[in-house]
Amino acid sequence: MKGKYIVAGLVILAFVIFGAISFMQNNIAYVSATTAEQTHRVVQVKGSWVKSMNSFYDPKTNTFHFYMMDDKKAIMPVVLQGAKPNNFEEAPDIVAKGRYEDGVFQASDVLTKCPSKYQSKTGPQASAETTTSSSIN
Amino acid sequence: MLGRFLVFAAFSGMLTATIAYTYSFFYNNGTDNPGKNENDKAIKIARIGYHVGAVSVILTAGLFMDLLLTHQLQYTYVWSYSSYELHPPLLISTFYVGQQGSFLLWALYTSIIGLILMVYSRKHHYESSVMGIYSAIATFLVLVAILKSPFEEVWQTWPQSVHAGFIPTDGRGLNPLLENLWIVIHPPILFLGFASTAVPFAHAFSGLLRKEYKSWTNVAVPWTLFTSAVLGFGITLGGFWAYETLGWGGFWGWDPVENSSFIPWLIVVASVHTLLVQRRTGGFKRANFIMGMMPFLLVLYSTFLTRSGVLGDTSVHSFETPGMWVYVYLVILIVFFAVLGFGLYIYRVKDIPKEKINYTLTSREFALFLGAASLAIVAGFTLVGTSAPLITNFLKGKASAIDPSYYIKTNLPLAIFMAAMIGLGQLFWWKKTNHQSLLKTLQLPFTASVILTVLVIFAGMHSIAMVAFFIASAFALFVNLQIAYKIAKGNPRFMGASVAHVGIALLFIGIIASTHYDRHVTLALPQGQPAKALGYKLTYVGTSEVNNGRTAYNVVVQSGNSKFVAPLVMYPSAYNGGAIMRHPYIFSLVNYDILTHPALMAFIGRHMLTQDLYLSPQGMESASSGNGFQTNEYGIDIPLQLNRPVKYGRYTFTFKGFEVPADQRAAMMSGESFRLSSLIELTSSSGKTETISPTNYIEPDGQNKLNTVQTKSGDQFTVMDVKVDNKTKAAEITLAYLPSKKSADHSLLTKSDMPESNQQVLVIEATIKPFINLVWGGVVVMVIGFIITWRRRRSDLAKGLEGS
Repeated sequence: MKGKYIVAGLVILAFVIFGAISFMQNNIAYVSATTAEQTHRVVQVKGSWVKSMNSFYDPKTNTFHFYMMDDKKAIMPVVLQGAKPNNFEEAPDIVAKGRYEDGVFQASDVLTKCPSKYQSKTGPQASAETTTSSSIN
Repeated sequence: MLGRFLVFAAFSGMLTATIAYTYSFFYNNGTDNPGKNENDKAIKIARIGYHVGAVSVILTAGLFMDLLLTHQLQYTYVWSYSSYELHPPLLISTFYVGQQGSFLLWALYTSIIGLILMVYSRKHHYESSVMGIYSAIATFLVLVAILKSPFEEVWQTWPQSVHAGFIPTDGRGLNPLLENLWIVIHPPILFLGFASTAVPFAHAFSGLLRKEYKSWTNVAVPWTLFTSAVLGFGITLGGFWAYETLGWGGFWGWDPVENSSFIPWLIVVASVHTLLVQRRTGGFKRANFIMGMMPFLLVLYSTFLTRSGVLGDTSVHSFETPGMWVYVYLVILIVFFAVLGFGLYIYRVKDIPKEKINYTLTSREFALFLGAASLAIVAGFTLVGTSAPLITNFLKGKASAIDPSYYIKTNLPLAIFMAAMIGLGQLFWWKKTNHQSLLKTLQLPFTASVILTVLVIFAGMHSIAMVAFFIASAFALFVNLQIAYKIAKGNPRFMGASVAHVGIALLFIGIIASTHYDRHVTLALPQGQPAKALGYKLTYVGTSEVNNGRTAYNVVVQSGNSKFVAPLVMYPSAYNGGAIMRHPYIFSLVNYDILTHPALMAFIGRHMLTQDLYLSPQGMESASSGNGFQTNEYGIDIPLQLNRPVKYGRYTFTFKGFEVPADQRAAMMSGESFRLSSLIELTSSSGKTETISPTNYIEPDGQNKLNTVQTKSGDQFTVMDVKVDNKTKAAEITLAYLPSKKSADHSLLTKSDMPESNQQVLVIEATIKPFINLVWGGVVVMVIGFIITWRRRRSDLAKGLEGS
């Protein structure tokens, strides 16, 4: 009877350790651009697109090149695997996920954040102006 | 006014029912006292209360729907989520796209299910205990509509900007991302699943309350099966929607919203297994109370995660900023029901009889235990991963999400194990298995799965984990097919479990094929130039206009001699601030264009029967042949703020401040033209630091004469713009950096003198998803299995075959 509990306990312990290790390994920390350059881990950097420094899409390699400035105002070059992300022009904030390699941030994913995407803060009057063209039937 | 009155009536009715049912239960000395019940006044009041509550909720929902259908834009909710442009059925879906509406839908389902539960529990003589706790749940859900009324008028929401009586000309409309048939189908089914978890919770609670530790499971089982079927189907519809419309490229992304409905489902399904053990052997009496209560608590926790804003910006879903009230209210709700349920459990636990069950490692009950345990562990891993932002925020003070690879890494070994158990467990007997006959029945399915696995290895499956997952799933499939066939010949009523497991096995095989052996390429298609990819010839032929003035980018897909035009739709959405919406086109048996285009049906039948071709538009891009960044003649513009280092190329730039000579200061004050230098510290990547000070001449009219300085290395710097905020004294300059031709940074510049081919190309992502139809088919088969078992358990109860 005791043996059963010990086995069960060990199995549970093994799962907890396995889960904790996986959690730690796959937890993607938010770091600054400077830290991102120093570590070789996959990280996330939050910041904004530097529009004054132009960006381009390279169809040969299917990469989108741009510069982003993190919250500490450090600028880093980013190469995204893929085309320009959704909402890229409008997003006040972007989050790039990837790792630094050879002086460039190789991003596997760039998330764009639109904070008030689904909810209006201004109320109906402000938007009544923009929707005057809509027909009432 | 009527709306608020109805909500209040609903709340009063539900609260009355809660109190009167509870009173009746304790008045009868903690039993449901079936004989005397009919003369009990309290229970009559409770029934009236519940009916008043439920009818009021139904009327509230009806009124709310009427406001939406008749465009009563003076209501904040109506204005926020609908517009004149919307017609049914999309208009109907606005009922639940917003926060208040979705809580109202939850309350509506809960009320209606409660009416059925009342009749059901009355028949089985446990009405007062189960309806007491159930009415309490309904009361809390109705309370949401009082705390945050769906009937709020715009002038109450924005008293500053609109006057009372103001009626907006049109509403904001529905997010075009949601403008799809699936928004009409998926949430109502999912919410029905969510709402129905309250029933197993109420049953477990009532069992503890009545000290009825055995037979409560008999009446609870049909409800648990119902929840399994509905929630499982609802989750899959969500995955199908994501695949079919949203262009995420897959059916499952381990996103918090998806996970939060998946976790309760796993536990419900696990409880189907543990309840079966209790029914047959009397084991798991204690565990089943926990298993019965957990799904509802997990639904509450999920709602908390996805509705309260705690996930913040760690998810791809954009959440409403709901305000503090949802956060606090949901925490109260979770704590209240968890304390109530687990408190009662702890109070009673000593009293629950423990039955010693004899079993061997190759018994059915042990296999069921392992199956349920695996499901619970998968739920646990997924729960921890989904809560990662909360956990990291607690441990590190900074929220961060987890990479989806975590879920695969932790859950894949368990999935392989589960697949093997789905096969083996079905062959085990209760208590003890005869090993010789086991080996005999094993032969056929085992041989079949080995042969199939060898074939797929030759077809290119080389990952050991995938081969293991595949052989286990194939084994599960053949075993259950064999059993289903045998049962179907005898008594088909009993084939539910094997049918459900056939479905799971098909689902697993579909998952392996479509997610692990998908192939995708990104193509840049110049107009009229065909590209070969994935065995098809793809040509972008130009645009055409589709509904609502949106643009379709037409791509001709050719295979052999037949071809078909795929319209890939992209358009800017005003609702989302001009963001580009993209819709994929899928060559698939589940593409409903095949109903209107017989040619497509034939095309898919000939070329895409075993695999979907998924075309996802990425954008129209100008293919620039230059390999650098465009910039002005002075170099690359870098914005610099005082004492904030900026890293760019080989330098870190720090703007240290301005230097204005004494004589220039007077000129500056008097508004004449003056000279000013900007001190900038350059730290190169080798660690060397030097300071430059380019000078600008500022004219009174704000004109700015530039002056370029050059360092020893040949790099040139020019201050393009100088800005000083008079209030905050914050200074900002724009520094143009022109790297020397010898510098590695020089390649960062666009060679503006180079001729650029500014041709527009359509960038698309093409993906082959092999056997993805097995995913959808598998789920449908699984749900059918649940329904067969559900119907059987219901009719067993009716016939009084309890416990057989």
